Amino acid sequence: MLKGIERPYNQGLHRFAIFTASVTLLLIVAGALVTSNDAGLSVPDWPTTFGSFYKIPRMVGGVKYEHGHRMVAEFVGLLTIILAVWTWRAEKRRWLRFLGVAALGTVILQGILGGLTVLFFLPAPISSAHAAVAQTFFCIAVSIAVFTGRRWVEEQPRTEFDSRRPSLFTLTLLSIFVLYVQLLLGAMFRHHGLSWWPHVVHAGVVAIVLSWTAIRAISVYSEVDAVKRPAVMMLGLMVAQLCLGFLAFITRVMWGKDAAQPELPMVVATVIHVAVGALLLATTVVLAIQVWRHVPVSFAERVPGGEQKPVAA
Amino acid sequence: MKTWALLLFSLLAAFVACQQSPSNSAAEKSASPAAAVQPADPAAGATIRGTVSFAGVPPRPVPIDMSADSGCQGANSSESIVVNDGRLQNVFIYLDGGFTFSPSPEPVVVEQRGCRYVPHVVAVAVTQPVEFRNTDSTNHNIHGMPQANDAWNTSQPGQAPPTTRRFRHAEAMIPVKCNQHPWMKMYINVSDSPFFAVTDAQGHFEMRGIPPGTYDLVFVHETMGNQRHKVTVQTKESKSIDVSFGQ
Repeated sequence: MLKGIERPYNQGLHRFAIFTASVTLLLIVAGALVTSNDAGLSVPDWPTTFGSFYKIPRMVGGVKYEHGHRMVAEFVGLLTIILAVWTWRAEKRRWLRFLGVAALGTVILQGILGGLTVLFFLPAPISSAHAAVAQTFFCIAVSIAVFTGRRWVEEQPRTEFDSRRPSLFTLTLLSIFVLYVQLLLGAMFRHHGLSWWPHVVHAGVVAIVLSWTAIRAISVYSEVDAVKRPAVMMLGLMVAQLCLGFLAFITRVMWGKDAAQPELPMVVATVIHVAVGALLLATTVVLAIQVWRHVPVSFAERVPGGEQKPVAA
Repeated sequence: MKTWALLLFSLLAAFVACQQSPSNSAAEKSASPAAAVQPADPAAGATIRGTVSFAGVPPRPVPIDMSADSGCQGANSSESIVVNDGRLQNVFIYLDGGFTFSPSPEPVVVEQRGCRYVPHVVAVAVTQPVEFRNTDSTNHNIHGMPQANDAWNTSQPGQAPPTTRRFRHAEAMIPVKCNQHPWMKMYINVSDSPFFAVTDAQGHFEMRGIPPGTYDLVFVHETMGNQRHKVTVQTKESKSIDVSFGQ
């Protein structure tokens, strides 16, 4: 077997990428707390906070969530700058260096979108874009963690060609797509731009597509650990997310319809639903990456039909 | 093929969903008659008074947990449906008749007291000022979400000078809330008629100085919708209109 190009494993960079991704998940939780507690405009200005760039306000009521979210966001921004610079300097893989830059660009965009939500009083499209870009950034951070991992850098990938149609890679891309649609429908509902039913109905589509993808991955490629593990995790997270969605529906739409204030069961259910949604999307992206690496489309399918006939030399 | 079908369905679902508009309470619009009607001399005009009742068993006020901010003192409960002895408070009433008039320059005062907006429902004429005062020690923010007027969101520290807001267009039940204390809600009603009122704790309302004619008397509640009643008054007539809202 040919040995791959040597790429030194950088443990420090890998651990830092994991840390950045972990703090990003906390940031997503912090953001969900802002929305679930209806605290989005408790700090009326941006980029200042009650007129100051550095003073920490009295952290009570909605300000505790809104300004707390901003503080964690600033920390994630700092981590991303370090990650981008470190990746650029330490990595020999050009595409990964640019992925670090893309992460930085995404987090800057996310900060601007967050500011726009405040300046324009939480319009549903901008707030929903803020939610979608948050999870996109999380996926990028997780991807960088995967690409800097020891397994990815040092191991020879075990490959099995995929001759089925649609290919498993296509299914993973479709899974990512339907998850994004689901994310946008959910965000539009949370920000009062849509009713609840599109998000609930589309959950059925998500369940079908993700189940199809997971079953194909687990049953056909059970020997490829790098594919089987994220597929199993994706299936488990999907089931958990469906249950959490039901709980969020009960507490928000049914019990909480005429609530005088955000109630704890509703806040907990909706925040966990958002966080698990982010984990599900990131896991699906990881699965897509691993499938791309380990389950390429079979060679015969890639050659155009007219050129398959052998010609004697 | 199956993949494309699922992709198409997903896109279609998203497209259909985006065509749905969220249900919003529509701004009340006056039907303008052919000729504008000037308010009459109060001494010669008619009077419409009445009582708004609640039909059925009223919901119990829900106690509000204000522990999120130690600066919020006292007890508080929900005010979406306030019923006293079967009478419904906080119903906005206006006479729809295409009137022309000069709005009063006197501000209607809304106080942020005990982490509540007092009163819960107010009514002003178009361009009449609403004055917000914060008599609490804690910070509040005033986030108005009108449909026909400009939205706003301002912060008001405890004991700070009052802030004033004016509205250029008639609109009923503009929600106003404090994002720092999410239980704090109130409604502002903006009338393009000089004859408007909000029912008091006994469900009573009264309007004086109405010129003779036939009008629509509109009743609006924040959760129970609205009602229109035709009313005809003569010079110096006193008319009583009682209505009922129920869930």
